[in-house]
Amino acid sequence: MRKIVALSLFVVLAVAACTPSSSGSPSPSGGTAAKTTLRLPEAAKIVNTMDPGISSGGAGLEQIQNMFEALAYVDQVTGEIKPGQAEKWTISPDGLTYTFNLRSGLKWSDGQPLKASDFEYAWKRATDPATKSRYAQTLWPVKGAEAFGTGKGTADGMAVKASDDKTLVVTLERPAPFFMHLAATWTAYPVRKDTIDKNGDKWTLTKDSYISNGHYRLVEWKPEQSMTVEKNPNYWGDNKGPDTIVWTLYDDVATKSVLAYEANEIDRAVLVGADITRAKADATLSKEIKKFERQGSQWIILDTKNPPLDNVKVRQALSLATDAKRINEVVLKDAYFNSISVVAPGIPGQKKENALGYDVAKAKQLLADAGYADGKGWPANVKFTFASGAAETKAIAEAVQGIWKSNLGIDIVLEPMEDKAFDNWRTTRKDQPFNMYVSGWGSDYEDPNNWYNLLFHSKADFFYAHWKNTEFDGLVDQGLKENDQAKRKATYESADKILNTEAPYITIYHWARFDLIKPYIEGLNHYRVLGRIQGYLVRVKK
Amino acid sequence: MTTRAVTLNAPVPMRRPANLWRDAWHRLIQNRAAVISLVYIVLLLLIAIFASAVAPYPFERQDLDSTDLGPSAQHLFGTDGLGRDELSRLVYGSRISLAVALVDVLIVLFIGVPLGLIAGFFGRWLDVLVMRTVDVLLAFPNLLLVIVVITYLRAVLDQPQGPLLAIIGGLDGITGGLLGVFIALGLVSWLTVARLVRGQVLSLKEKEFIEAARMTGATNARIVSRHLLPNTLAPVIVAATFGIPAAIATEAGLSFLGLGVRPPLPSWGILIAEGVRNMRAFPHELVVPAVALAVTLICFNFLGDGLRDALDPKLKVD
Amino acid sequence: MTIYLLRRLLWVLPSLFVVFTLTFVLVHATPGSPWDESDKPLPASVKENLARQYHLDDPLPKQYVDYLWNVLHGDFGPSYRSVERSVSDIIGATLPVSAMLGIASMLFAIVVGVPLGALAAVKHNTWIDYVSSLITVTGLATPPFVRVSLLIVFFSITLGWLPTGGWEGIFDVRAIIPILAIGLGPAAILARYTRSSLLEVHGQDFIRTARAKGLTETAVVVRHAMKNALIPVVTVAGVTLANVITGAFFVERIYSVPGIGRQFVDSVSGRDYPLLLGIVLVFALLISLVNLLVDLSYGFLDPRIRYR
Repeated sequence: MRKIVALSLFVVLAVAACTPSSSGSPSPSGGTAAKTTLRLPEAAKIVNTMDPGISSGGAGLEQIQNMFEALAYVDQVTGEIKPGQAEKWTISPDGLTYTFNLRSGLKWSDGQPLKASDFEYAWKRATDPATKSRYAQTLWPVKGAEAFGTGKGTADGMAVKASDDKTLVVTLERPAPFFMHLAATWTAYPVRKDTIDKNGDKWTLTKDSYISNGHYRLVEWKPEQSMTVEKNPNYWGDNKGPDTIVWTLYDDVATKSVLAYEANEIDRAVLVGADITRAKADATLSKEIKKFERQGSQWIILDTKNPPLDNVKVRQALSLATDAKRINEVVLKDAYFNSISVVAPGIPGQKKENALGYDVAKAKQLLADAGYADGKGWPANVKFTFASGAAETKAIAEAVQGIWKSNLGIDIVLEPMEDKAFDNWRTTRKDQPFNMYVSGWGSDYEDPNNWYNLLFHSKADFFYAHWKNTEFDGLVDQGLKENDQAKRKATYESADKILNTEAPYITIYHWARFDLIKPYIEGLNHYRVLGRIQGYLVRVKK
Repeated sequence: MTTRAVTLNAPVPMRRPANLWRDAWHRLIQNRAAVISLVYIVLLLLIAIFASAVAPYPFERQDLDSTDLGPSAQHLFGTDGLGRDELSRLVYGSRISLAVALVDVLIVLFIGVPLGLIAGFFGRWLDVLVMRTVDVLLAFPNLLLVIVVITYLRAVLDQPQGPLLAIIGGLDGITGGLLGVFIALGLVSWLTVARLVRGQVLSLKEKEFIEAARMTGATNARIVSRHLLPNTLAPVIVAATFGIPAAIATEAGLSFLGLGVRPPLPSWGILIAEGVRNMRAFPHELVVPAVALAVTLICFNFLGDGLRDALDPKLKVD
Repeated sequence: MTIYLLRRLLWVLPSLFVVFTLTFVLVHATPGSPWDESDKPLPASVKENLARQYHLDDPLPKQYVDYLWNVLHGDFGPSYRSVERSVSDIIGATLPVSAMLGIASMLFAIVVGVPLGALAAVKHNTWIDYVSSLITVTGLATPPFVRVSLLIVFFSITLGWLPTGGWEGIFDVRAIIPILAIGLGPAAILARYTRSSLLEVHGQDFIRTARAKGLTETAVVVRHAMKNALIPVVTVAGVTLANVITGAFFVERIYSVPGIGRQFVDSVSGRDYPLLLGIVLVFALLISLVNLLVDLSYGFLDPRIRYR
C-alpha cells in the first residue's frame, strides 16, 4: 500500500520536473526568428463580442481598435483628431453637414477595395434595432438615426450617404462640435456586408470571415483564452510595430497578469493594490513600473435631496473630512492620482483652486453649524452603497467609514451589493432616494461638454445626485454654444466653482493606469482619454 | 443476553452495566489527539464568545499610519491594509466561522441523518420521495443557489416591504449579512449525509442483528435508534466534520466574490480572501488566518476521528 | 433490477423539470439586467430594443414555455452576453473541458486518496495515521482559490516549471496545476471516508474469518474489507464528481481554463438566462446519472442490498 502511494507521488513529481520551463506564449503562425511579438494581457470577463457595431466597448475594444480604422482617429500621444481612412473632411458653415473624402486605394484585409458604401452600411447596421448593438446610441446625432434606432424611422431616413466610392456625406440633427470624436469611435468602423451576410453572427470567429481594415488582422480567436493578430499587409499606411500581437485573457487581470509577467509569459502587466508595493520594493520590477494618467474621477455621489445630505453644509463637511490623499496613497497603495477637484484635470474649466480640499477643523465646524456637532443627532441608517465585486471599492468604503468616524464622529452603514444588483439599483435611483454610492467617470473625449453638460446639468443628472443649481445650468448651457475658446473656458470655470462648492460629489481619486512594462518594449503608451494600446506604435526590441 | 455463573461465596466482580455513551467517553479521553483537539475547540468557543475581552483592539479600528505591518509587539499578528489589528480581526472572525460551522453541523445532524434513516429504513415511497428530493437539490448547482439566494435577499431587503421582509432583514442584520449563506447551506449540507446514511442503512438492514432485534419484538423506532443509528454514526461524524471545512470554505469563497459577510465585520473567510490578494507582498495576511483555519479544521477532524473510534461498538473496552 | 433502473431513469425527467423551473423562477426574480451597464447606463430605448429582440419583454410564463419548447427541439437559445456563440456552442465547447478535467481530478483523488486512507486505517493510531490525517486535512483546510494561487506561485514563479495558465488539452502540462488544485480536496475527502469505513469494517466478523484463514493483511484489506468499505466512499465520490465539475470554477477562473464552471458563475452574475438555464439542465442531467450509477454500484459492492 505504501509503495503504491509513494510511486504515484514520484510519478507526479517526475512529470512535473520533466516539463520544460515556461518559455513564453505559443509562437504565432509561421514565425521566423526575425518576427516580433507583443504579448499583452486582457480581461476576459466582458468580451461580449468582436463585432464593432455591437460592442459596448468593454473588454474587446483594444483588439477591435487594432484591427479596424475609422474615418479619423485620436492620436494616442497628443489627443488630436487625425485623418484615418478619410484623408480629409469638410464641415458645412452651419455645422450640419460633414463631407468625408476617403483615401485612394483603400483595401480590406483580404485585398478587396474599401468603399464609402462600406461606411454607410456599417453605420446603418449599428443603428438598426435588429442588430442588437449595445452601443447603438453613438450615432444618434446623425439626422434620422435616433428615429431609425427607436423603430420609428427607416434606414433610408438616416442621413449618411456614400455619394460615390470615395465620398461619404453625413448630415446631423444639430451642430455638434464633438462629432468627429464620435466618428472616430468603434461603432463607426466600417464592416463588410458580404461576410456578415454569409456568416451571420459568427462572422467574427475565424480568420477568413473576420475581415477588417486596420493595422492588424485576425489570426486566431480562442474565446476566453487568447486572441492573436498579425500585421495587415493591405493597410494603406506603414506599420513599424510588432509583426504579431497576442492577447492572453484573464479573469482577474490584476492578479494574474502580474504572475504571468513574472513568469515571462507576457510583456505588460496591470498593477493594483499590494502588488504595487511589492513591485516598488523589488530591484528589477521597480525599474519597469510606469504610471499613466487617465482622465477620470472616482466619486462618492450624494443624494442632494435626501436628508441629512440635502444640507450643503453637511455635504461640505463630509467632503472636507475625507482624507482622499491618504485613501489613495495608503489604502490603495498610490494606484491612482490624488484627488484635486470634482472634474478631472485637463478638461477646460477644471480649476484646482475651486476645490474644497481637506480641512478637518473646518469640517467639524460646518457639521456643527448644520446641527450635528460631534456627530450627535446624526441619523442612524445613513447608507454607503457600493458594488461588492471589486476589492478596492470595499477598501475605500471601509476606509471612508473609519475616517468619517474618527474625524467627525458620525456612523454610516456599509451596504455592499452584488454587481448586477448594484447596476440595477443605481438605474432605479433616478426617481428613488439614496444616501451615497461610489461611481466614476472617464472622458470619452477631452471636452467640457463630456463632463459638465453630460453629467452634472440638472436635466442630464447622469448619476442621479438629484442636484439642481440654476446658475450652474445657465453657465454650462452658455458654454456649450460658446465658440470663443477663452470665453468658453472662463464660463466653465465659473460653473466648476459652483460644482465644487455645492459638493454633490466627493472625489476620492483620479483615474490612472499602473503598468509593469518589460524593458525591451518601447512606445507602449496609454493616452489619457480611453487609453487603449495601439500596437503599431509599439516597438519590441528583443 | 448474558447469564452469569454465580459461584456461591465468591466475590462477584462488580462491573458497571455496559453503556454505549459512557464507554465512548472513556475511550475518547484516552485518545490524546482527540483530547487536545477538544480542548482547543472549547478554547476557541470561549474566545469567540468573549471576543471583546480577548481582542486587544476593536476589530474595525483603523490606523492608516500602520498599514500592512508584520507581527510586532503592538500587533501580535500584524495589521491589514487599513491598519486594523489582525489578531483582533481573527478573534472576532472566529464567531462567524464557528457560527457557520455550527449551523452546518446542526443541519447535518437534525435534518440529514433523520431523513437518511427514514429513507433507508422504511424504503418504498418514503425512500423515493426523500431521495428524489435529494437528487433535485444535488442537481441544483450549489453555487448558483447560494449566489442567487444572497443576491435576491440583498436586493429585496434593501427596501423591505411588509413585516415578513422586515423580520428577514433583521435576521440578516444579526447574522452579519450571512443569512443567505445559512439558507443556502441549509438547503445543501444535509444532502450528502442523507445519502450516506441511507446507503449504510440499506446495507445494515439486511444484517442478522436487525433480524434478531425484530424477532425479539423491537419496535421500528427502537431498531432505528438503538441498532441502526450507532452503526451509521461513523460516516455521519466524518460528514459532519467534513461539512465544517466545506461550509467555511464556501463562506470564504463567497467573501472572495464579495458576497459574504457584511463589512466591516470580519470572518476567517474574508480574511483569507483578502490575504490571497496580498499574499506575495504581505504574506502574514494570508498565513495567519489560513493557519488558524487549518488548525481548527485539523482539530475538528481529530475530534471526529476520536468520536468515531469511541463510538465504535465493536471496540469494546473489556 | 431492470425495473428499478427503468424507474430511476424515468425519474430523471421530472427532476430536471423541477430544477429547471426553480432556476427559472429564482433567476428572473433576481434584479439586474443582462446588459453591461457598469460604465454607463444604457439609454432606455436601447434597453427596450434589446429586450424586445431577445423576447425579454414577453410575460414570464410565455418565456418559460417558449424556452422549454425550444429545448425539447434541441435549441438552447442565444447567449445574451456572447453574440457569436449560442448556448449550445458554449456548452459544447466548455463541457468536454470540464468533464476531462473533472474525471482526471477524480482519478487523481482516487489514486491518491483511497490508498492514503487505507494506509491510515491499517496503521490505525500510529504516527503514520496522524501524518496522513494531517496531510489530508491540509488538503481540505485551504479553500480552492487559495490552493490554486499557492500552486501557481510555487510551481510557476518560484520553480518556473509550469505555465501560469491556459488550456491545451488534458495531456498537456497546463493541466497539472488544475488537476492538483481540484483533486486535492476530493483526495482528502476520499482518504478520510476510506479510513473511517475501513476501520468500521475491520471489526466485523468476516474480516476475522479472513484473518483466521491465514490471509495476509493486504489480501484481507484488498479482497474483503475494501469492497464493503467502499459504499460510503462511492457515495461521496459520486457527489464529489458532480461538485468537482461545477465547483472547479475558482480554479478555472484563476488558471484561465475554458471550462463550464466559469461560464456558469459568469452567467449568474451576468444574468445570461439562456446560458444559465442550459448549464443547469446539463448539470442536473449529469448529476442524476452519476447518482444513479452510485446507487447501482451499491448492489455490486454489497450483494445483500436488494432493490425492489
